[in-house]
Amino acid sequence: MKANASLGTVSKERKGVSRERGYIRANGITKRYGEGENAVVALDDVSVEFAKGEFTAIMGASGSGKSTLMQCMAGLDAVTSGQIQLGETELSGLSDDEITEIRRDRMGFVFQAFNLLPALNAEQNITLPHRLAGTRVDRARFDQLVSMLGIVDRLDHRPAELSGGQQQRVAIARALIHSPEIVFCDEPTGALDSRSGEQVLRFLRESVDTFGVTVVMVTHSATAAAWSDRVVFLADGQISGEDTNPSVESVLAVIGGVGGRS
Amino acid sequence: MISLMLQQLRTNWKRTTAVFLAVLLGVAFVTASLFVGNLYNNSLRDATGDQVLGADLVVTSENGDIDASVISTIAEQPGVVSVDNRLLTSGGLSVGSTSSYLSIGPIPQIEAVRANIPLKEGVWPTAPDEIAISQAQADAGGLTVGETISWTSWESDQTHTFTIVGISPNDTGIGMSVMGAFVTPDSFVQIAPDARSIGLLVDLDDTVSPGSVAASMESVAGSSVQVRTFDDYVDDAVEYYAGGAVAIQVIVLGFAVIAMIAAGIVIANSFEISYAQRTRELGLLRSVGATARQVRRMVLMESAVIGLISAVAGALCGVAIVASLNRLLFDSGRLVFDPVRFIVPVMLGLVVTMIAALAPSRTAMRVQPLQAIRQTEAPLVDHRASRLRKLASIALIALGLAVMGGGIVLAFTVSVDSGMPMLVGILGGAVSFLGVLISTQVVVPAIARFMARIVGNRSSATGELAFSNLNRNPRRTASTSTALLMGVTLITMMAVGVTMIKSTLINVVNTENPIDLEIEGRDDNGSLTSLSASELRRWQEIDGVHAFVVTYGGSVATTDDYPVDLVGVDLTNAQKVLRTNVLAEASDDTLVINQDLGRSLGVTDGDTITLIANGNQVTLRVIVERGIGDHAVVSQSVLETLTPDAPMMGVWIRLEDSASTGDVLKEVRKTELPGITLSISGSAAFRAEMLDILDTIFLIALGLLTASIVIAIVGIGNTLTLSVIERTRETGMLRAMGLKRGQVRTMLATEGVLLALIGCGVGLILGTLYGIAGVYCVFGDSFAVVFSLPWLWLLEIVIVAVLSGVIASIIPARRSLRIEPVEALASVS
Repeated sequence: MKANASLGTVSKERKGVSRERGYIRANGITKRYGEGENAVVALDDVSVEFAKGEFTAIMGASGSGKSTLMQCMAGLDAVTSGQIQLGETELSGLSDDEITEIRRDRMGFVFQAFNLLPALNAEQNITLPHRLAGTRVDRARFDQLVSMLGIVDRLDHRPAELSGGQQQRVAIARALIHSPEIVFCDEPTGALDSRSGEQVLRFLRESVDTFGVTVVMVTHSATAAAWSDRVVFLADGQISGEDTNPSVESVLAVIGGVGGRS
Repeated sequence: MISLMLQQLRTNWKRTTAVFLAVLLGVAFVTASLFVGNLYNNSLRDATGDQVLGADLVVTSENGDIDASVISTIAEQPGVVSVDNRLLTSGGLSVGSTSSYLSIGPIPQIEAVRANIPLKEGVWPTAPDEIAISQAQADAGGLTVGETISWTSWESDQTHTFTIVGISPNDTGIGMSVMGAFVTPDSFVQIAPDARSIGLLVDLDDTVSPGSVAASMESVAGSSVQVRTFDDYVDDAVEYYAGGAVAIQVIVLGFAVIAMIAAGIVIANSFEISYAQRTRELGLLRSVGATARQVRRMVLMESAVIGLISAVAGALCGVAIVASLNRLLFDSGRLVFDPVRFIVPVMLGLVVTMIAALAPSRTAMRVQPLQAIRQTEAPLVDHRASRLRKLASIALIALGLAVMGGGIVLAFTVSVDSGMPMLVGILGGAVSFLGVLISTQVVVPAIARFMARIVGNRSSATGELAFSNLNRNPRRTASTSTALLMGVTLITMMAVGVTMIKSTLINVVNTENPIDLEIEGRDDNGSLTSLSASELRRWQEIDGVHAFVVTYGGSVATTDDYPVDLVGVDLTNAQKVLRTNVLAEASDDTLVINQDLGRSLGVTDGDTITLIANGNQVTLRVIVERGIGDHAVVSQSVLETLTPDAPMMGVWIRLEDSASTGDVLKEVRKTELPGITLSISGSAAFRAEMLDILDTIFLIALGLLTASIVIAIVGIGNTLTLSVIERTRETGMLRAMGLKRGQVRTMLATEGVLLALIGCGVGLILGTLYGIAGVYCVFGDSFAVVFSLPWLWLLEIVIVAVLSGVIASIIPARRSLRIEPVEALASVS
């Protein structure tokens, strides 16, 4: 809470929306699974935007569409209708390879679990985005990240030899190594104990403040959401509310109201 | 438990595809090779049976002839209706200018026998100048019913003229004595009064039993003849002629066993991977109360069901292959469905599958109930090979190499003709190869690690991922490449062996006779006659002629009046023609001869000899060389000094290596030379024939080994497919992070190629060593072994290995890409 309060002052103010690097926008996106009577609408005409350098949490009950929203915006899943723009780039209508390249060069990912390749050591995992793209690793940035994340002495360990918290920190370093515009996190603390979880959130917060990266985090934890600048609430595939000054209490008040969990 | 197992099998059948394919291919191969043998025996039985079918007894004698007294004794036995003395005479059939061998016999006298030789066309001869010839003879000579042929007896040299009235089937006769044609008995006595008997066919009364008559007949006829019933005769004949076929069948079965071993490795690997992936499911079974023993029993039953289904399918495929081959190739063959030859391969397939499932089933048994709940990542296994395995493999390799070395030593110390050194060599090779197969669990991972260290870190991200995946499960990598290693080792061994045998034998042939083609003209009396320059020059222009030298002939004598036929050649051109350098030292004052001629002339290497002709006289230095035939070779100028107008007698030709001897000779024969017959000799035809035989052997072996290579490729594909399933989430994560579809394909293709290359590389090295060792065991010091390697073949093997790695990755890659990154990531929970 203390961290939230002190860090919160840095970027609580909503920035003016501009179509610059790091800005991402969903415009009336709908995601429907299946056909006809069996069709399930996961996202129903959702429009939302995330400003550059903003740390947004997406919350909602299971099945509310929060993960689908993130996956669609990240280009991992195709929308049924609507548009998604990353900066100047329109994502819908791009080929698989084009979207893959955008994910590779302009996005970073942190998942709940299974973030790392078991056969590679921590350093190799961190630098993977660069090697996939065939680009040179920025050593200064690498050193800065690993020291910030406290994994300097873990670099030659394989994932199996790392604790869950350490694995997630390696994953964050990997998500940030190639200076992405936006980092998507899917329940990044879901599989961690509360102490490790707090460390991970602190690093996410710090990376937003230090590198000006846009972070979109899907979570069902009010504690995690309180670290963000803004919380977007989803229910039944639609945006049901927003909290631009989140705290554990304010978030709990909302999700309690929509029947979510704590 | 059984119904549960069957349900599991129904849902998991896709995972067993590789097991199914491997068993199917192996069993199909074994079944096919057994049925081919069966087909051969049946054709043989038909062929021998048809010759005497209808006769009740067959009487033959060891030395071929049967005394008239014996014939009359047999005819007098009770129950004997008639005795047909089968006679045969040989002679030449002239059609146009060519003459070919034609044996003639009298028409079979026993009605039942004649009825079983159905004429293809026409009727049996009835008049003295009528003849029925066999289909083969008719085809060879382009003869039809109504044509007249002339036949010259080899015994009396008399020529007879016959009109063809019928075409008889082939292979009619007794034993090896095949009748090419039939005439009436009267006519036969005319053309061959002293013809030899090839056996008696006896027709019996229906009231007596042939078996008992045969026994009593043998006792009265004496020991010079053998009396057998029709069935006994055919059985004996099949056994006699099939002897060679048995050896061939053993070799084919050997290849089939190799295919089955490759299948066993692939099967064991598939089960191992499949159980590893079903850990949660097996854990669930355990947590709801299944004992470890029950789990093991269930997976073993599963393997039995899969093994049985695929083995039956394989055996059916094998029979189908033989049946269609039979229809395509040998229309005469009769395929009898022999249940034993069907059941044995099925049982073999089942047993191999069960044995292969034993070790993996222990993995399944070790699954703990908790593993159903615990989330497990794709396993990173670090199986260290056991000490026992290392020791055993080292011991076997060392022992095998020692025995193989012993074989080579034997080949050089005792005669290779006994085949003993080769047997010892094969034994040593087999033992050491067994050691190698056991050692792959240690060696292959070491190679993979080494390759990763050398190449892996310098390659692209996909390459690096492929390398790290390869090292993720060393045991799996090892077994996957072992299957290919086996096939490649054996193919390489055959390729290297055949190539070295070829180069060695070519060297021998060249040394004995360095001239590819030697063409001379002979007149009607068979004496050498001169040829004119224009014809000789024309031959020089024929496609495929590499070098050409005209030979001049002259008869001279020594000072002792010993006649010598000299061959004079342009030495420079002659050296281009010869395949060895026997004329290297020849000059304008030398005579090159072989040792035999030297002995006749009473000279040895380095002596001088004086030759005289037409009052001219030269003294020459003698060079004794091995490979110059019976020629006495001098330079053209020496010959002109002795006989100034020495005629052109012929040519020596060296062919292009790629040229076909037959095609060149066809061109040569087009030259019309009235009154002159061309006599053609030289080593080209022999060499071509020899190379042909060796190439055929190699191609057959290659064809037979293909089965094990295909099984190995199935194994690579299987390993990759199952790895892809195992790595679903990982691939999803990589795709989310920006791994393109093409890169996923590249990554899997690289893995496939690496797996293939390891097996192929080790196989190439081993196969080359075995091939070389084998050649030394075969030849010893009987021939100077010429070292040569089939580089093109070795390169092709590498290319095939790389391609098969790529091909094996296609289906796994498609499967991997079918899963969307979102789905892959969703499978987290």
